[in-house]
Amino acid sequence: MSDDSELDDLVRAAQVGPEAALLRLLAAVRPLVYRWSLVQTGAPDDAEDITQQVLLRVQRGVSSFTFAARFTTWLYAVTRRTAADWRRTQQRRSTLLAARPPQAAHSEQPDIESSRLLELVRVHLGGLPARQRELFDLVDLQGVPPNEAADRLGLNHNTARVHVLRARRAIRARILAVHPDIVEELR
Amino acid sequence: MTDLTCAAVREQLLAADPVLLRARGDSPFEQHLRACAGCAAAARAMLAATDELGRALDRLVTGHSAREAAGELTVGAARGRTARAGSALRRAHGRWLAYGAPLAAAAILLLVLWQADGRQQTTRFEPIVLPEEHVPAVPIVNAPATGTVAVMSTSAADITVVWHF
Repeated sequence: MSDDSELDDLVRAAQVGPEAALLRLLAAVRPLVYRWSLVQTGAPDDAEDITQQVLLRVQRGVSSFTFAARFTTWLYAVTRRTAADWRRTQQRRSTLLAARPPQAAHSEQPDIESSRLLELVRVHLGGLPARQRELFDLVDLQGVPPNEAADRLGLNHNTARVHVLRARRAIRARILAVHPDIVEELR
Repeated sequence: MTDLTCAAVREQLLAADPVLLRARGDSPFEQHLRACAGCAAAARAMLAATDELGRALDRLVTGHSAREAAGELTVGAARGRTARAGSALRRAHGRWLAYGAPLAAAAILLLVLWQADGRQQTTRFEPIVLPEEHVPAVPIVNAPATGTVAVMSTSAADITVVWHF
């Protein structure tokens, strides 16, 4: 993943350059957007759909990006909005299609290893509220400075820190719950 | 062992920054972790699980990128899934418009009139009761500007169907 300065360079090139520059930018941000989407949804197919929509929005909106904020902050906001819009659309479709007989899945079935990894992610992150999940991933897993993570989510810095602490407590309590030997030693 | 008790450290373990869990600094918390096997084991378990979670996400993203590079995932594929869901929705809408809507309109707008002899028919809706002297032999119904209305007699003399569509 490119760091912020490399992304900024790609953005500037995409704003003024040929289509190839835009494609390079989209290729660079795609893994980032997919990860954020996966943390938001816990489902690879959903994350893929959201990613595609985000990339389309980036394609349409990059020319008007003014660098008033970090590009990753803007990109994260686009991803969150797209994920929220996508969820609303899915809920409406589910309501209208509820009476239809179930159809065979169109998406690929994940391989065994991916299923295992997904299960791990769901076990640890699935029980958290969305904000805690997002902030834990950004701060503790991706190493984003807490204040920057707060800015990406449009949160007060102290509020974001509280969310991170709560997420850590929840995840670590669950970890200790599956290690009774350690809990016994701590008594 | 430091001045911090295991109970105090245990409480901090749940929320401490991962950097502190690695116990490479000189804070009282980190000194305790280096000195206490039990608390150190707890910190290691937490770090190991967190690291494993981070690696899992990284590998899921890497695997996705590899499939995308191999052409297994394209804009068309994602749009195909979205389009298939949309097509199913459009087919559902089509059947609704072709069959469901007229029937539903008839059911929803079914208007039961009864003759002056007082006999009443039960329906899902409360019947509109008009004073006897205002009940015409054949109902006069004004269709809305954007619709059509059909007035149909039935085999039951005291039942007339008024269908707005």
